[in-house]
Amino acid sequence: MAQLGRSILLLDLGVCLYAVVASIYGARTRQSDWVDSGRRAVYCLAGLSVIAFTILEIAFIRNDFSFKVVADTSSTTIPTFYKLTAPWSSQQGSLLLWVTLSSLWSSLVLFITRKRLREIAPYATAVLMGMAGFFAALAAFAANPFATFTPALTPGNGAGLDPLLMHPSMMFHPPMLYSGYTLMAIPFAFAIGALIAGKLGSEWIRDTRRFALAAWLFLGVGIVLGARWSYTELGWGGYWGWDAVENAALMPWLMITAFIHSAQIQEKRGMLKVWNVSLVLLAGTLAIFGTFLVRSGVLDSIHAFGASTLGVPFVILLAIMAAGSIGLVLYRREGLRTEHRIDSLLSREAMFLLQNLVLVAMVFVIFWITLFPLISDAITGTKVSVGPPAFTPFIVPLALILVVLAGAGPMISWRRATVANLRQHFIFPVAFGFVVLILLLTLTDSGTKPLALAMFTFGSFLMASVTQEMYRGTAARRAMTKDAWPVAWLALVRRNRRRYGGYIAHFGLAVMLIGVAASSSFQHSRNATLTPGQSVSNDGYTFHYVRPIATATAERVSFGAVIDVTKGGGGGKPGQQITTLRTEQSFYPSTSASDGIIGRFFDSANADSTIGLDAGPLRDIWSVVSANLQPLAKDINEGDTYFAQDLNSLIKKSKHMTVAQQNAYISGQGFWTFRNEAVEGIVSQYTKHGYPVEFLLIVAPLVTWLWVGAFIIALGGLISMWPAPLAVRRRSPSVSRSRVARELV
Amino acid sequence: MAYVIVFVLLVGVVLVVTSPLRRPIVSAEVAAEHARISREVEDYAAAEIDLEAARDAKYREIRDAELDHQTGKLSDPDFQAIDSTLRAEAIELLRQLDALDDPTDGDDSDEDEEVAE
Repeated sequence: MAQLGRSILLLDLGVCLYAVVASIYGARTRQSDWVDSGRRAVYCLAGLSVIAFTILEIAFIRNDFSFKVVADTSSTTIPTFYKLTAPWSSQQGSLLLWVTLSSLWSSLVLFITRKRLREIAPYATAVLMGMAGFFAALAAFAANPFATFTPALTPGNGAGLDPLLMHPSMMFHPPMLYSGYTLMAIPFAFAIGALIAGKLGSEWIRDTRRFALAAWLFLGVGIVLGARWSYTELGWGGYWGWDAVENAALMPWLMITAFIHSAQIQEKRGMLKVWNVSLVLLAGTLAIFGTFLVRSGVLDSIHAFGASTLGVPFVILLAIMAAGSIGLVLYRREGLRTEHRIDSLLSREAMFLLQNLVLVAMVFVIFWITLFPLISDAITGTKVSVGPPAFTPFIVPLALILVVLAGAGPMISWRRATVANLRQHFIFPVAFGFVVLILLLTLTDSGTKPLALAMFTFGSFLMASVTQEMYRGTAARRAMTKDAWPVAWLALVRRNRRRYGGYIAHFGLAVMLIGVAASSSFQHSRNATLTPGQSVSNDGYTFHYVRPIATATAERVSFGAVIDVTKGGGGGKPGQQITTLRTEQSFYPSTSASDGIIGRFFDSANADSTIGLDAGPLRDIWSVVSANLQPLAKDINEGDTYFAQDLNSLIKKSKHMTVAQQNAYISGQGFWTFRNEAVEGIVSQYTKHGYPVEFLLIVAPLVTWLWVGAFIIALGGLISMWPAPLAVRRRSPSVSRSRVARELV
Repeated sequence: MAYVIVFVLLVGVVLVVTSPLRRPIVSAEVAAEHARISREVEDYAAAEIDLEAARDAKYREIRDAELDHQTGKLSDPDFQAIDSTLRAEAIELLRQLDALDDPTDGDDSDEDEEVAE
């Protein structure tokens, strides 16, 4: 199977190279046969890559440890669900996944555009296959997922999956991100194709719009799943840490968000051609930059498990993409001149442009602050670490402006708006925002956090603006059709998916940012060291450490706590029971002999956390325990010494045997059974003695709305992306004016 | 076994990829004529698809303007100006589409004017 996989990778590479050559040759000589042949090569690449990836998945499911990647990232004890996800936890599997997804998306776009964009598509094919070939070459020569051990060296079990990656999000988070990144390559490739072919109209935007939207959707969902993973798995209580790799995904997402908006201006008005093509080229380059950050390990990151030595090839690819993009834009600068000018600053075009500037400013800020450690290292020799405080002073004000523009944009018409129209449309949302502001100032302590208060106010303005747009649109529809409100609303959205899908996404943005502002500004966090029976208060809640829990299995040992949370009470009265939380810290056996025969079960470098969470619409109560293993250290060390001596003595007694016989002899003497009993005995000490343990206890408001908002944004994106019903094609010559009217009905 | 599968895959890839290049052998003149005709057909099909897409985009613009007008974002005079411009552009696209269908089918502006009246 491995041999087959390796051969397919080489075949992949050959197919990519052929597709590049055939497509360019066909485009230069205007021979469509060669262009067709290049396109078919892309379909073949997709088929071959799917076969290769299936082979790798089968190796994981069958625990085939002759595959080095399986031995490194899986084991017999991990659940089948995580065996399926393990391929993309490794560098090798990730590269193969990239090639597979990239070839599938490329096939889809080239199939859809097979009868149009005839001058652009061949060059786009060459770009897409050039990029796929780059990843296929890395997989074939630098990080081969089908590398194997010789039978003699094949281990009996694997090292297992990084515990941090054993989370349900991992089934979807990386494939979603990779889908986003690979989809980002499609508008990038067609933009390059348009620049080379000199076809600088809106055709390439029109035909790749859905792919840009899909990239935006997949990358966005991937980012949110990553945030959810961070919140529930990493044990620090947050969902966004401005980690270098998080930022690397956010930057192309912001850039493609800008493009999705400004592309409409080019489609409608023939404006902003340089701007649009630059946004797409930057988004495509930033997508590769994100991969470079994950794979190179040049910056400290929670994604350090993905680091490798593949930085240099990525730098070369980035340099080619950046230089090629800049060169082509300069070469075609005359053809990219705008056809029209913005009629008025009071127009939706102007709002889109302002919103674009804010998004690009965000990317600029995130880019430089993310790279600041590298810059400081280059200049001063010291890698300065940066965290959230470096980002928030810039990002929060920009986000506030963005929310205002997202609320104002839908209320302003294309081309020009009058002051009277604006007054009519802005009264309700502005008044609603003010009412919310006054209520918050009077009823809550949100006045102490002005930026959060501003976000609540502007977010309310945005939600009111979208609600008003929905209401007015539905009312206009009802006036024509006399339908019931829900029917008219559904018909409105169905007939104007792009517009109202966008509005729904705007609404979700407001919900999400309100959740972010509330949970980050009004979070109450407390560290406490407690013994069983002790309590501590946080934000009006009492956390009572009821009892310790501990379990030992072949897969892991876990130490945890049961916590009762109550509210109120005092003066002898019991508080109201709110919830019971159960949190654990689990330790997975390390494979390093230096950790000791017993000590390897208590390796803190191989641990993860299970949080205790009570999530609700108004607040989340979040807890994590940090197991205190210090009191067990003496027993662990003594166990290491005793079992090492015992093992040595057994090895001496069996030194005349073969390795297999020796292993059977040691097992037969009950060595491993005694070892397991010793581990269980040490673990049980934890519950018997009730040692003091450290907790992180957090009460944060409105976190749930962050996830709800993200869901609404994704829903809006899906509605925008969904194809409209096929237009009725009436091809007979007809009377044009009446025909326009008829076909518009 | 792996080598057999690889060989089968390789043959399959070669057959799929080269199928557009494997044409019956004909004289150079016939081949050139065939290429010219197929190019013309493809140009025609591509032009038709592009025009249809442009027409659909224009219809979307008209609907957007109508919706802006119905929801009070565009005043009557502004809407009339924008709508008539967009409809004129849509008519031009339809004319180009009709001309593609039948190049001899000339100007139907008389008919348009009749309807307008």
